[in-house]
Amino acid sequence: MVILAALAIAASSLFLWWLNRRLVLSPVAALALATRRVAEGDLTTTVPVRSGHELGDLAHAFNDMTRRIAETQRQLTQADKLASVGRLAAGVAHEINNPLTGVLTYASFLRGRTKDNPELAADLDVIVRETKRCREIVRGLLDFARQMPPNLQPADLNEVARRAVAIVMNQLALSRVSLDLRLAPDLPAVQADANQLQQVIVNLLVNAADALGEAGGSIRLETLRASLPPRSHAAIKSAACPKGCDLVDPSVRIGGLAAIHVTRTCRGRAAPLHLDPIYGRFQHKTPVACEEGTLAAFACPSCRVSLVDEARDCAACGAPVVVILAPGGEEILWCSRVGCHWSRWEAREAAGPRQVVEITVEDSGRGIPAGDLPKLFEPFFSTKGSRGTGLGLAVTWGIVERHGGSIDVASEAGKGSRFTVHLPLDAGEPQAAPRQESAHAAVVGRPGRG
Amino acid sequence: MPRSWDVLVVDDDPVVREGIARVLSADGLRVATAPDGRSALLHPAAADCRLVLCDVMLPDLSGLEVLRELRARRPDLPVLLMTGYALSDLAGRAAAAGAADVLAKPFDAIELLTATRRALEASRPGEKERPR
Repeated sequence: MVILAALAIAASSLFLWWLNRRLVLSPVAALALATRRVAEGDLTTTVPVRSGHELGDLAHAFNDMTRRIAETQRQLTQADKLASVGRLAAGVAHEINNPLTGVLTYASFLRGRTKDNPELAADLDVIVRETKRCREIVRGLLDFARQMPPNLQPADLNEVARRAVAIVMNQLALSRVSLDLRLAPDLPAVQADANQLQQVIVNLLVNAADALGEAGGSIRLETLRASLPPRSHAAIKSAACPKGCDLVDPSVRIGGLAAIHVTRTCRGRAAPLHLDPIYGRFQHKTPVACEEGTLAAFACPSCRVSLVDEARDCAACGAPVVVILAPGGEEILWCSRVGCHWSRWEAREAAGPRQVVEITVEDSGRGIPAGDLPKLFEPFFSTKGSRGTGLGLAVTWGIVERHGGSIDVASEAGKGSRFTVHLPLDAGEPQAAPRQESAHAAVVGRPGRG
Repeated sequence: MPRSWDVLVVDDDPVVREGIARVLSADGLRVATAPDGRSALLHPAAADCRLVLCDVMLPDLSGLEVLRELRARRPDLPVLLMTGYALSDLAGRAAAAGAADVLAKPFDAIELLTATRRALEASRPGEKERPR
């Protein structure tokens, strides 16, 4: 009897020890280890969330904290970088622009007096051209350092495109590039800052020419009027859970835009899921794949409130829907079944297609590696090595954003890249006047030697 | 009394100053130069020339101060400002102070000549250009 009791006590002690070890000691040890790692500066550390009770909550809160610290640190570093560049650019511009003025005045003056000596004239053209390139780099730095709000006036984008082409023409003609200029004849005026948009087109053309390199190739510059349906085009720029937590996560970008961060639980396994901020595009990112057809649970990563509304069904497959909130009480719905590509942004759909002017710059160059695409519009990211400042596309992006427009890139390594800029014709207010228009204008010019 | 100078160039950078003088002289204009704001205002050409080209950043006075002082003495004198900084924030103030135009550095000989001729023609529409 005594032996049995002793055995029972021993067995339950063993069980309690095991339970304590599994539920308390090892999660606490994992947390302690992770805390030390974070203290040492490793902000990528995460703690596995094994249970739904208090220690699981603690682990979850810990992960959330490190993620937020990492994001804040990234933003501070970025802001610091920008401020430094601003100071540097303003200080250096004056110093560099004076010697550049000397070189440029004398070289172009000499060039004007060597019209009867073509060989000398060609060499001087190189000096003039390269000095002007330095001028553009310095101006790029200054433009970036002081990004101005656009001065919106009705602007003829065809005219802007022609001026941009005139600016880059020398460079294009010299490097064996054929330019296919297709300007829509009936392009409506856009509320825009013509100078800033000229810079956008110049930047895209210069990038396209750089992508072609020595071998040359073709660049297509096209303007047209288009009508964009909300699906695959409307960007979700702010999103919240029912309790008001911000779901936009600028540390993860999909196609240049900040993604929407939710927690997806699939067959008992919770993992972060970054939803594509473009409505209806479904280029989501997650470290944990989930089998198609599975009904997943969705929660706010901060307060963990469920995002699933069991009372509403997906119109395509009948599964419960996931709800996130956009400003103005708008709801954006997704299907909770993995692989079902149903979504609905009622307010945006009701507003109808958006009338835009589309500017496309497409090249037949080397293309952009898929891994570089998400970073393309970030300041100081360059695929041109020491030849680029990493500011061109960042400035371009900023200008388009401040015009209420969007810029997309599609690229295939070895085949070329296509940048598409959309500028709203309705100055922010979506219009319900669907008129699909895709007729292209005739080729207006084909300069260069191809 | 015939004029002694057509243009007064004010810039503290000697290469820029001489380079501009060289280009404008070759175009048939008589050019005086000054390395800073005070010597520009004291220069006899300040009372006599048809146009002043002045850098915005001078060691003693700002280009805008030189502009205002010159315009106070000779309200019809066109003044072209030159700057190595971005134009956007300066252009408005320069126009308000009566600048004929703002020329962004670095510029080439053609841009310089174009701006100079435009300023000269705008100020004296009736006057014929001096024979070369």
